[in-house]
Amino acid sequence: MNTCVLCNQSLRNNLSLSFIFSRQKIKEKFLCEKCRNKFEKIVSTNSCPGCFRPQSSHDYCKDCKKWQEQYPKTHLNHEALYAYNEIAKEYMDQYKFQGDLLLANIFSEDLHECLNKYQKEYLITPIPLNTHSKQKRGFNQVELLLEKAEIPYIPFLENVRHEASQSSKNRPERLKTPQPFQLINQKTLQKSSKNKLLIVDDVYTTGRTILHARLLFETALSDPYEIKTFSLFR
Amino acid sequence: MEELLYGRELLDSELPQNVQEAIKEKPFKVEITDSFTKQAGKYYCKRCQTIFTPVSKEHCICGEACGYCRNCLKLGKVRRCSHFYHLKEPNDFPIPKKEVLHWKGTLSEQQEKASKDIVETIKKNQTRLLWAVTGAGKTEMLYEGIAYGLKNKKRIGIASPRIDVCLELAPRIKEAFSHTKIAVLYGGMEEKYGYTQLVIATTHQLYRFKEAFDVLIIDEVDAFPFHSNQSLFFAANKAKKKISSLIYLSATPTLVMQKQVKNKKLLSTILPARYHGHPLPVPKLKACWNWHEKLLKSPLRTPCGKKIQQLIKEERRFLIFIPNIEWMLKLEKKMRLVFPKCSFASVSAEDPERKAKVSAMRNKEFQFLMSSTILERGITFPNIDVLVIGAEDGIFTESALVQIAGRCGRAADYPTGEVIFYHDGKSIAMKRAVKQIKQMNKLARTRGLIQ
Repeated sequence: MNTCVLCNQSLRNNLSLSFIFSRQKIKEKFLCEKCRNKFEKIVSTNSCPGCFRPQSSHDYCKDCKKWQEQYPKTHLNHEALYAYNEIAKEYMDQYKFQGDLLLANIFSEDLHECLNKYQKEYLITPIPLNTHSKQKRGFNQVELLLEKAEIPYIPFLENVRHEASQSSKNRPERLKTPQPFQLINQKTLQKSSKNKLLIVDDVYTTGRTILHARLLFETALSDPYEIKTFSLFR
Repeated sequence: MEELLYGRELLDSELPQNVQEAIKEKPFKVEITDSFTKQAGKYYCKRCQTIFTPVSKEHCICGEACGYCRNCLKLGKVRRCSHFYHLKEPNDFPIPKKEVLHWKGTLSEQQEKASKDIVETIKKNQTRLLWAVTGAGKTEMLYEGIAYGLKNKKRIGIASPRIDVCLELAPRIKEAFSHTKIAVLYGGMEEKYGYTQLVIATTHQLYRFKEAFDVLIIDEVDAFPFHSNQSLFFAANKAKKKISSLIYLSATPTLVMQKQVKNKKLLSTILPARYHGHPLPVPKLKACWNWHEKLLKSPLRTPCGKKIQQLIKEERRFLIFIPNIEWMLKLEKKMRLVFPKCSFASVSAEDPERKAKVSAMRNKEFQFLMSSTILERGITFPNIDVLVIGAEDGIFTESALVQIAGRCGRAADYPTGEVIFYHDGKSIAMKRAVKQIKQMNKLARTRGLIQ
């Protein structure tokens, strides 16, 4: 019998007669209802239009206002699926840091539903790991999420910094991080007929990482490109 | 530095920095092995005997189709391409020159006998179950055995599946063996691991040992979490030496163990009486039909609600066990309306104020406490009665019910009390629990331990 990947409760598939006769395939379950309900979906009307921070109003939050002062030409338009609450933190700890790859599966349907609409017009690219993290972990958690969600992506970025990861720093340190990315696969990027780009990350915390990626594309791409950013958690 | 690996089985990521460097520079004779065992074409984690979850070649550091263990992931990721580091346990302990046991108490007659059985089990490298009723005084019975082991260069491990049991045991054992170095190991501990002859650990920490212990004692062996039951027994067997003694302690052994005892496949010492020489309170089974609805609707018309009212009137203090947290919170609301002057609280495993509420109950700030099944073990209040609502629920296993009944009459000054199981139809577990308690009392009587 399967158990919930987060809390180890046994999982039951309640099969109705109509389901059995419908000849549909049984979807593999990974998460129990109790754990799933702890994840909070962010509603766009109750969030900051710049960074999708959950809040009661639909105005730019104070952090986004600061970014706008620092980068007046950039149009902030981040989107996120779930709030980065307690269960989300536990999830990321188990998935990314303990290396429980199986957890990539639990959001595959949600992510597919959310990102599928971008596939036609957008080039989709994940935030990369630096070589050190990649060697230690063995997998890029963002790429794996996209693979499980069956969303094709092209890597256009590489992380050339060899220092501590963002998650080991405090907020002021994170904000001071210099540009860590370089462009790769530039020819594919230039040849592509699409002129829209979606940058995908796992968690949007201060926004520093994803903004670095955005700024790199903004300066490198001469054509009027439309850039959007997305993360699983905010 | 080698001693940090004696009897241990660690991943390179678990090795202390200086050991890692020492192995690289001047390889001392460390035994390096694969991380898996292969059985019938399948790969099992060598640390916990769980089948690996497959990983494609793009997603592992080795660049090949690999796998990893989800069961013991929290102790550090075991990949199929990982290696374990181990050094044979040499029992590098000095023979103590002075007496090691500094405990000044005395043992009762049955404790004395059990204590002798334990020493004998250790001498003969046997496996034994010490089946002692709740409140029999188990810890004291171990002291002679531990002292014997320490004097004979044996490495001793005391483990429990429950972290609070370990944390409760540690200070008592440290006090009794005040000149002996003791390592206390559990998830989230702050102290670093050091090589000691005596180790107190959660059973999860046993995963990190290999053929280390000459004596392994497992307390509350029936409390293994169901989903990792098998792998924890595997860990316990791996942590002890091939020739060693294994002692299980339990107040409520599982059916499997009870049968092994009955069929003489497992040696046992049974302690049927409490240290104060009074019988265990026998639970009364009382029907409280349709308690789900009736207790919330008009509690004072139900047998259970009437009993609560009576206990409040008589100023008795009591515990109420409830199978379902959400329902418990509903009942709590209702009770506040019905008994507005009475002070009480509810606790559950998810309650952040759990500790504060329990100590408030201990300080007599509350007259009663409603609880999910978390208070069934370990926690004792003197002079209380115990009620169970919905005792037929599957969450109340035989052992849970015996433990719950065991909360009552613990103190020598107040050795009696009332235990009532309110039910909506008796379950097998309820009947077995009552039978077990009665059998223990009968055994105690025939041995002349109680009147």
